Amino acid sequence: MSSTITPANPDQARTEPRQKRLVDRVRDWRVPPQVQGVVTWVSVGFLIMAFAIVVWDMVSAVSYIVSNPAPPCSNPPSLQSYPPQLVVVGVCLVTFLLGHLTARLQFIDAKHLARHQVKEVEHPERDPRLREALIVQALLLVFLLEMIGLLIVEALTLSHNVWPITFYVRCAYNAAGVQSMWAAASILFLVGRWFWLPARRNDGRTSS
Amino acid sequence: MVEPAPREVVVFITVVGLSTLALLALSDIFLTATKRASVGEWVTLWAKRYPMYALALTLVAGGLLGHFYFATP
Repeated sequence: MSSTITPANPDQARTEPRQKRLVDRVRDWRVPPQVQGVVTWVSVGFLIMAFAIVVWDMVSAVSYIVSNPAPPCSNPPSLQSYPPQLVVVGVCLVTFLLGHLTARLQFIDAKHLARHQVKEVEHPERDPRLREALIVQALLLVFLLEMIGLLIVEALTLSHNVWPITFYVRCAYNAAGVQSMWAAASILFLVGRWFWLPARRNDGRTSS
Repeated sequence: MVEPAPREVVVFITVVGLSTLALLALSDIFLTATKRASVGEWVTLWAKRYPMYALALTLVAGGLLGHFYFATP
């Protein structure tokens, strides 16, 4: 039982730790060191599943398009399929959360994060993070070029009375609802891992 | 009525879009298995360094995702 804080014992008031809020305790919860390896391999397992589903969907889509002249759905593609849209959205939300949790609880060796903590150097060419920075910028360039390509394709298709990309997403859902649902869920899992991440402290642990 | 696009265009978009994701997932598998900073860590570090640029990219990418996946009658 905590003692009452009175003006007579101010030192005790200073040293006694403040009770954390429940939400902070949940956010600051750490994986026990004994099971950190398990969490890492669970993350790897989910990542392998997401990778396999994305590749499977890509191969299925390309092989169908190459071997069949017509799309496997009506024109325009119907919005009704199995499983219902709300189920698909629910599964995607769950996998998005799962992606975030695997990234949050994942153990990262602190020595690999130490490189990111260096202060600004005098000359950019002497920065130890130069190679990593170039890789990130190259990836960013590829990402931007792909977005430009998608925007051009979408603009051209919409202006020439040709199916926009949206219709192909609908068509995939209409023709193969379950497979499309797992494809969308895999993409959302990856998005949850990559774009919803808590800040990490220097020791590699996440902080709220 | 709108007509389906040429097959070559559809194959190109499918391969480019999904293979990028697959390659990133593959690199994330390697980074996670070796206990290195994952793809998400890199994104976070970059977004912290260039917050306005990250905000602009997020708006464009979010708009595109919404446009492609949010089917309306």
